[in-house]
Amino acid sequence: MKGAYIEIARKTLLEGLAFRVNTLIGILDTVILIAVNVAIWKAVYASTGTLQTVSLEDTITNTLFAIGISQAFWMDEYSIAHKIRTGAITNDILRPMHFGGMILAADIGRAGYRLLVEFLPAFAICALLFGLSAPASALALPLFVLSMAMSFLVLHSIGLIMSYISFWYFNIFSFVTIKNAAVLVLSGAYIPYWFMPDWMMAFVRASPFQAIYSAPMSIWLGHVNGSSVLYGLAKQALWIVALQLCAQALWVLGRRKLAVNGG
Amino acid sequence: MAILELTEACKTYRIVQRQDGISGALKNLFVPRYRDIQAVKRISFAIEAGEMVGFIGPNGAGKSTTIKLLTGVLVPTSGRVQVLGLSPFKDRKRYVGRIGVVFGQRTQLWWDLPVSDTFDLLRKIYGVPPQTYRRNLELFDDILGLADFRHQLARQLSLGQRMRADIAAALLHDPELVFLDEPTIGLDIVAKDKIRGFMQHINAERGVTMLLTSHDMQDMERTCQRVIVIDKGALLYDGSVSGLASLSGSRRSLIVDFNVHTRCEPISGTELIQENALRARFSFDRGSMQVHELVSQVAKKYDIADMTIEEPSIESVVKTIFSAQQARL
Repeated sequence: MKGAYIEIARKTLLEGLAFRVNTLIGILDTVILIAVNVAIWKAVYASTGTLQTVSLEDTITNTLFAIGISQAFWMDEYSIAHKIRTGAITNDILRPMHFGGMILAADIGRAGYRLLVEFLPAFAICALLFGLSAPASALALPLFVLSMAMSFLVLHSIGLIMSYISFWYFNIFSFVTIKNAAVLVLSGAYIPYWFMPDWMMAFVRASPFQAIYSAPMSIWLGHVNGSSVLYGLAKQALWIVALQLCAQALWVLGRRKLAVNGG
Repeated sequence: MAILELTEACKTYRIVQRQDGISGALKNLFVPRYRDIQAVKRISFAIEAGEMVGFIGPNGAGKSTTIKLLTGVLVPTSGRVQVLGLSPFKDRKRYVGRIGVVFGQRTQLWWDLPVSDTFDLLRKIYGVPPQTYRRNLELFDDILGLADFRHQLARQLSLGQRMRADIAAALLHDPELVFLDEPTIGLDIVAKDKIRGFMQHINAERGVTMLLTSHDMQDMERTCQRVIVIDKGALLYDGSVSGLASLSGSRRSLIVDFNVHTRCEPISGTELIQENALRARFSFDRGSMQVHELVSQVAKKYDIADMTIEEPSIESVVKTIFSAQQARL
């Protein structure tokens, strides 16, 4: 049984590797996106001088990681929505498996391949071009990886919730678009939190968006220390649990709503 | 002991009633109107272990919906569904590991993978022991001829191959109970025969309980001992195949194709219901008219290219049963 989830993750990963041109375009896409954002931050720093509390190097590091990884952590809500709409979800329901678990396995496989073959090369190129701050301490590196893994789980859980909306609404495009925009703006990838006004931060702190890229980045950059690192990790874990419970509730309710006509 | 029990099961779909035109669409946006569709109306039946039961009815009769209630895909609006001592919808994960399901119109194979990869994944999902897996693969190769195309991508298979692979996929884990929804749809005679033979083999040799829906009366006559007929969501008939045949009446049609343009004369005991230059259709009663007598009479008189005896279709059988029931009321 457990083997089946691993097998799904493996198959998704291998599927991604099969498309070479896609991979090359993916790398190029990520490099360009990072380069444009780095250029913007350089211009901002040049015009505001030394007023900033966080160095240009740290801001560039944030851009490299958060934007680079956000390209890899892209969830595929539409394919689940399509399954629900067309009734193809019947096949998944007929397997003795947890549906959310199957989606998680597939998401891990997809993110795994994008991290390996798209993010890593793009990151290496950008690090050589623009430089990078070292992790704040030796311990910061493993904690950063752990926190980034939890960021992935937060995004996966939000994605599940979005997909399940299609049990009620035919078209989830607007929901997903709003969610994606909110993640881009509020997760700390495109606008690091040190540039955000206080009123916005008050909202962000109470939202799951803070548990996405800002949590691991503040560990790498040493913006949090000691017990506040643990506090940040605990908050991420809590968001994962809360969002998963919400997704599970939607799944249970949605399945009662499901109508599969014909065939 | 019944392993499958459906008690007063109902399924109602609620759909949005669309209104025509722009004003209708706008009205819909603010005050949507709903309409309830009763796909299944208080259906009850039970199936014993080891039975092979045919489930028939015209399009839209509620066959697929009933199968989906029995497989746990849908939840009944009211009534009770109990299979293998479980509630298919509530105990889904435990339940679906013990059944096999084939939807003829929707493949369960992974589209971009070779069939063998799908089998391998299914082996892991259901935790099939290695010996069972090998034994089953050998059986499928033997009877279904899977070896020829096991390493092809699912999307490159012909319909007949795909259906055989789908049936094999549903049986890999030795399910106790198998649901087949239109397993012979769109297939030619040879492929149909292969699949019918396989279903009979699995039912007889392994005692696997089977419920199959079909449009094809011959599917039922060749494979099932018992049939259940539904129409418009309600149960019309539950009994033996021969009982259904007698209910469906004894009128048959003989279709004759001529080599040359021919004008037919009436034959006693038959009714000429359709005639054009190259084809004639006689309706006769199988009880009072021997088929071979009729055939030899026609063959003696005319220059014949081909002759076919037409069996009643599911639709006409259902119509006959339905009107017989109305008359009784």
